[in-house]
Amino acid sequence: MEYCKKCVIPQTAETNRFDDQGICSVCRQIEVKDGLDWVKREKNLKEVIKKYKNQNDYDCIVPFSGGKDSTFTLWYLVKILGLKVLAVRYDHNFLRNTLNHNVEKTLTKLSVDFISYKSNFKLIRKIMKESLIRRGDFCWHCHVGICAFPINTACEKNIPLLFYGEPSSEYSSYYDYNDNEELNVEKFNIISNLGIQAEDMMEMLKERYPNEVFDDRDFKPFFFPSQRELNKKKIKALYLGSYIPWDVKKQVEIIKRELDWRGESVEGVPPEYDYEKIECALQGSRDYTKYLKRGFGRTSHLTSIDIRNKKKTREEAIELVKKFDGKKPKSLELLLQILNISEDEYNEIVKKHLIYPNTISTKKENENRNIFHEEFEDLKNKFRD
Amino acid sequence: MKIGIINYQACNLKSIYSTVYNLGYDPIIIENKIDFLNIKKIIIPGVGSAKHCIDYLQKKKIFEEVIKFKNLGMPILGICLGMHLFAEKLFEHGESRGFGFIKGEVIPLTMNSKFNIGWHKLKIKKTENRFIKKINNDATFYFCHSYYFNVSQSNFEYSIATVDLDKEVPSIICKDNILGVQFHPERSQNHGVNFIENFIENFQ
Amino acid sequence: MTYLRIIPSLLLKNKKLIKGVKFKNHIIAGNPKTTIQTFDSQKSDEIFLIDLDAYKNSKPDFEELKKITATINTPLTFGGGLNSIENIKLAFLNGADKVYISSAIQNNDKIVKDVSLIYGNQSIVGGINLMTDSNNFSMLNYDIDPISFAKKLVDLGVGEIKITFVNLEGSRKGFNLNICEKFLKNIKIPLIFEGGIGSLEDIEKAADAGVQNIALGTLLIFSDYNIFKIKQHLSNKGYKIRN
Repeated sequence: MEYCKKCVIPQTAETNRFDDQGICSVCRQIEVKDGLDWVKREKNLKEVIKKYKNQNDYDCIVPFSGGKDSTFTLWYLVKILGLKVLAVRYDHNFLRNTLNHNVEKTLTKLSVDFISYKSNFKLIRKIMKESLIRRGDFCWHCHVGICAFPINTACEKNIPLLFYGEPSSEYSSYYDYNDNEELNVEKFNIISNLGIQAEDMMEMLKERYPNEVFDDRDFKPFFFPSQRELNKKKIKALYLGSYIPWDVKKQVEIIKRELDWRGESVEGVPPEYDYEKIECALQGSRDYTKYLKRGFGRTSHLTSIDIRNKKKTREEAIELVKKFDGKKPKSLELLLQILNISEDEYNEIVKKHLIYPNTISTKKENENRNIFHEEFEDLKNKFRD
Repeated sequence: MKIGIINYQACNLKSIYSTVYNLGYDPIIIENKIDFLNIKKIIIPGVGSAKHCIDYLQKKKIFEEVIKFKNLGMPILGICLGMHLFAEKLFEHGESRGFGFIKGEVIPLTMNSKFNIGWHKLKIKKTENRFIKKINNDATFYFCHSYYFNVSQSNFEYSIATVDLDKEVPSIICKDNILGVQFHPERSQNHGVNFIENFIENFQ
Repeated sequence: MTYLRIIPSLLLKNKKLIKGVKFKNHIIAGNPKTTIQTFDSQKSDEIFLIDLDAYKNSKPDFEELKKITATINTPLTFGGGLNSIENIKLAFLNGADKVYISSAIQNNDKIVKDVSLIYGNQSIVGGINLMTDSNNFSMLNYDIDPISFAKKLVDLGVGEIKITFVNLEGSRKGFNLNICEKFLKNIKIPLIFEGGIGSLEDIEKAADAGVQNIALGTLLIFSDYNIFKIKQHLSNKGYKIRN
C-alpha cells in the first residue's frame, strides 16, 4: 500500500493521484491555495451577491446541517455579507443532541428562517441497507438528501442562489481550485450519489423486496432536477470556500465565540478535533466502514489536513493515526440494530468492497471512550423495533 | 434568443439539439428556407458524408440561405462536417463545392489508421482571440473524422487552434462571424458543453 | 500516442441494463438512463450499448435509446439487431453517434458501404465475437478465420472493430493477450476489446500489451470501482489517460 509522502492518505482514497515525487494531488491542491488570487475571488463573490440580492423572497439558501462548515457559512453570509438567508436542512435521522443545541442557538442568534426535512425511517433503513450492500457505504440517503433537498427547495421557492461551505478541492481531487465548482447534475453524479440516482434506488428496493409495495412518492426528495431545469431557473449552487480561503480552525474559533457553538467528542477521532463531524450519531460507524474498505479512517483524514496547513508534522500524524484509526465503534451496535444484521453479516458485506490493494483489517481494538453518554440509550430506544 | 440548428437528414442533429436544450434554450430546427426567420445564430451539425449533405442542402435551398446569413454578419458554428462546409471544395465520395467562406479543401487524413477517432488536447495558436481564451489548456475534445480542412496558406490566420495528429490539422477556425470546430463539442462532455454555451452567450 | 479509451459496455434487455456471463445468465444491473448518465458525468471516454432483445425480435428499443441519449454528452455506440439501413437510420436519429454491426455484415457486407455513403465510414464499428481457448480462437456461429474477417472489415471500410471474448465475459480472467496481440499486429484501424476484465491489474496488462480501447462490463456493474477510480489508478501508474 502506497502512502502520500507528505500527508498520510494512501492510494485507496477515491481520487488522489500521486505525482512523481510521491505527493498526492490533494496536498498539491492545498499547496497552491495560498498563491491564488483571493482578492479577485472575493471581488467575484461580491459581484455574484449583487446579482442575486433582493431579487426573490430570500437572497440565498444555505444548506445548513449545524456542523462547523455550514454554521460558519451561515454566519458569514448573514453577518458579513448582510444577506437574507433561508437555512435548509435535510435531516438524516441521526442528529446528535449537541448538534441540535448548536442549531437552535445559531438560528436564534442569527435570526434566520429555517426549513428541515426528514424522510420516514422505515424507508431510510431499507435505503441504508441497500446502499451498504451495493457500495459498502450506508449513507446514500444523506449524501443525496443534502444535495437534492436544498436544490429542490431552491427550484420550488424560486431562490436560485445557494451557498455550501468548503469546495471539494479541499479534500479530494474530483475538482481543483481552478475549476468553477458548482453543484450541478454532473457533480451530483460524480461525488454525491455513489453512482446511484433516485430511480436506481427505487428499482433496487423493488427488486430486493418484491413482496412489498413501495410508493414512488417516497423517493421524490432524492430526485435531483435536470440540468435543463437548473439552467433555465439559473440555479447557482456555489461554495463559499471558492471565494474566501477556507481555514477550519480559524472558522471554528469564530463560531464558538460568536454563536456559542459547542464541540463534541466523536468516535475514532482525537479529542482535539471536537469540531469535526459532530452531526451524526453513526459517524463512527461510517468512518469504521471506510477504514475496513480503504485502510484509513477519520484521524488519517484530519491529521492530513493539519499537515497540509502546516499545523502538524507527519510523525505526529502517524502517532495519532496508530492510536485512533480503525477501532470498532460503539455506534456499530446501533447500526446493526437498524439494519437488522449481525456483525458477521456486516463484515461479509464490507469485505466485498475492499479497495485494491487494501486487505482485511486485523486490528482488534474497540473504541472504549465514553463518547455518547446518555445519548446512546436514547438512540437505541428511538430505533428499536 | 432564437438559435437554429440545420437539419440535413444524416447529421447528429439530436445530440446538438439536446445539448442546446439542456443548457436551457429552445432551439429551432431548420429544414426549409422559411425556418431562418428570426434566427439569431445557427449551428451546422456534423456527421455524415460531404456529398450527401451538400446535395441535400442545395436541394432544400438551405445552402444559399446560409451564405445570406453569413453575409448579414450573423454568427455560425460549424461542427466537424459543418466546419468542412466552410471550404471551397470537398472530396468525400466525389467532388463537391462548399460555401467557400475560407480558402482551402477538405481532403482525407493520410494517417496510418485513416480515421481520427478519440480524444485530443488542442494546440491553441491565437492565444489573444477572445473566444479561445475561455478554453482550458488541459481540456480534451472528442474527434471522429476521416477528412480534414486543409486551409490554404493565404488563410492560415483563420486557423486559431490545431490538433496534433501525424501532422497538425486545424481544430478551430474562426473568421469574423463564423466559427468552425473539427471536434464534436456536443460529445466532449463538460468542456464541450461549455464551448457551446460560450458560443451561444458570447460569440458575435 | 493517443489516450487509452475506457469504455463502459452495457447490455439492454426489456428496458433494463443487464450483465451476463458468457453471453448467458443475465442479472439486472440498473436503470439505463441514470446509469449511463452517471458514466457520462464520470467522464467515460465512450459508451457502448447493445440491445439484446433486438437480436430476437429485430426491433431495437429506439425509445429507450432516445431517452438515454437525451441528457448525455459522451459518444455512444449502439448495436443489436441493426441489419437494415432503415434501422441504422433510426439509431442515428435517436441519438447514437456510431453503430455497431456484427451479424448484419456477415449476412450482407454491402451494408457497410450503404451506411458510409450517408453517415461516413467513421460512424461504423464492425463486430467480431470470439470463442477462445489459450491459443485457438474462432468466430462464434461463423466459420471464417477471425483475422481474415477483420481484414475484410477493414477493406469494407468500417471505422473501428470491436472484438468480444465471448467465453471470457464475466470471468474476471483478463483478456487473452496473445490473441489481442495477433489482432493488433495485423489490423491498423482502432480496435476495441471486451470480455474478461475483472481487476485494475487486468486493465494494466491489456494496456501494456498495446490495447488502446478497453470495454468494461462486470468491473463497473458489480463493484465499487467507478470510472473515476479506474482512471485515477491508471494515471498514477503512468498510463496516458484523459483526465
